[in-house]
Amino acid sequence: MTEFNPIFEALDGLDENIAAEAVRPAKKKMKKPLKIAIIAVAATLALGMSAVAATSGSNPIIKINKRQISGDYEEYVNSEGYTVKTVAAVIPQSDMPTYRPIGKIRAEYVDGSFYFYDELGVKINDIAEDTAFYGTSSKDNKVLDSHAKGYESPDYLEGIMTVAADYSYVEYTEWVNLIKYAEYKSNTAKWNRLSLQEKIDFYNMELEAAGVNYYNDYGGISHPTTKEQLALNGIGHFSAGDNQITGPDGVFYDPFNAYSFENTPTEIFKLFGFDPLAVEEMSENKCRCFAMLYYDQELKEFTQGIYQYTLTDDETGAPIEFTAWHYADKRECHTDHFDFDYEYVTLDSGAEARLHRSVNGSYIAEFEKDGAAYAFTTDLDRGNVIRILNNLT
Amino acid sequence: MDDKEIVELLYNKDEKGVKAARDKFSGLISRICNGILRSAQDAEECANDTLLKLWEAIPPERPENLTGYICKVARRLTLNRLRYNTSAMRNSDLLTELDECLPDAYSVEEHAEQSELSDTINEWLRGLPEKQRRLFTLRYFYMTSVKEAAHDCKMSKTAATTALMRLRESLKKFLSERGMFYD
Repeated sequence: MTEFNPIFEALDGLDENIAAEAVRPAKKKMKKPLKIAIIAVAATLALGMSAVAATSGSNPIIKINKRQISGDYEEYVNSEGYTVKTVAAVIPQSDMPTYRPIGKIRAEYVDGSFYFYDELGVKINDIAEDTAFYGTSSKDNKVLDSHAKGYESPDYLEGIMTVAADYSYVEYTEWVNLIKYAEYKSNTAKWNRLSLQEKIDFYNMELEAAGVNYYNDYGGISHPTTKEQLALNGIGHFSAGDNQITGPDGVFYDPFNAYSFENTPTEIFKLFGFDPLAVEEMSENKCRCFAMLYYDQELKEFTQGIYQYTLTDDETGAPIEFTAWHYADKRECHTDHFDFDYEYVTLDSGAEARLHRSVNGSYIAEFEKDGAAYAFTTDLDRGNVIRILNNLT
Repeated sequence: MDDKEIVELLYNKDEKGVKAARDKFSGLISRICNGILRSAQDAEECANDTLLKLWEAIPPERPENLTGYICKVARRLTLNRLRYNTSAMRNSDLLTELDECLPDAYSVEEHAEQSELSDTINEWLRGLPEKQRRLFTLRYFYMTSVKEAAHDCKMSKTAATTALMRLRESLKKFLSERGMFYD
């Protein structure tokens, strides 16, 4: 019998609370946004362009290949309270093969980290390793240098995450990533202009930001997070074999396939004090769903998944959106979507809406229409809607 | 079903407790077993053994932290399997890392019983910030790779490697101060 290191052996007597703590998700503390005005920023790419954005007052100057581009920028306060400046920068298609030429880069500096998005809101992730970002905070006039912040990865997202992790900003970074993704997807027209590959790339970012890659890497289950696998299995089809991912608590979750995307109100992120850990999507016929799992920091467990559904009113053809909270038993919440069945529910208005639900999932679904909130459960007979709550919030 | 309810069911020898434990913890158990064994078949057997052991051990035991308890049982059983499977483990990178802190089992027998060592390590761990405690536990209790542990702790791999090195140094110092290890 092999003798192990005594410390390794002694860890057999590890405090159970410590053992349990390690397999739970790390506490995620949402950092309050610093009200730092956004700096002027430029990006360079692998072909040797060097970009320097220097601010002089409120007017950013961008230099690319020693060619100065200035002006043409916008400034606004985004939904998180940050001042955002967009600056013109020309980035050839050849440098960013997965994205179309970029007319503008929207740059944000948030709490020590840089965020860059193209004009469509796609995060730019192909920034070259030697790229430097400079700018001046309008708050304290301090010159910010991305290199000085340890920004060193050629992969933009990874770099951001690394920087964020090193500076304990990861929680907020993840959150921002998800928010931005949601905002981007909220514009279906823009989304539809993307190629499949672009969608896959984008979805990969989200998966990384949500930590899905990692949590899906246990139990012998492969996770098709490479582009090829995703392409093979469909966007958002996280796992190749049994269509499951493993949550950080070790519980298996069954994500939905997602072949297209639908409206995703940013507000859904802000409704609760929970942190989104995973984002899943599905779309099928008239019913489209955006879902997130939420982890309760106090209870230290997943407490609910929030599903934003878009149904179709069969009478008027108008979309009907509602949000469903899937409580408690995640295994039931995330039953294999192939077992889903359609159910018709009748709204108080008399309109009949088609509900996409699990045949063996016992969840409570709630939706809001005309200012009133409704709740119903799947164990009710077809067509029955019970008005339980008048004000969910 | 919450952990206390599962414990109560198991304590009352209600088989629903096993089912509930399987439903809730099978993923976690698999993660531990697979992380250590890297063999799907062995891991599955260990996972089943873990549930069996749970059934046998409760009662008389009545764990207050079921998650931690199950993790420990799973790890113990999996390590037993690992011992059985291989004799090369001692030379693995993971375990030789810990040699920096305490070279061999013989040293322990000279200076401390294993349980005392466990208590000391627990004491040291409790004094760490949560992030570092998690990192150490993931790496050396659950035997996850540095990359995985780093990701779980929201750190870069490089940062995790550095942190682990410092943690080992810290543990070594801690043990030295308590007479459990001499250079």
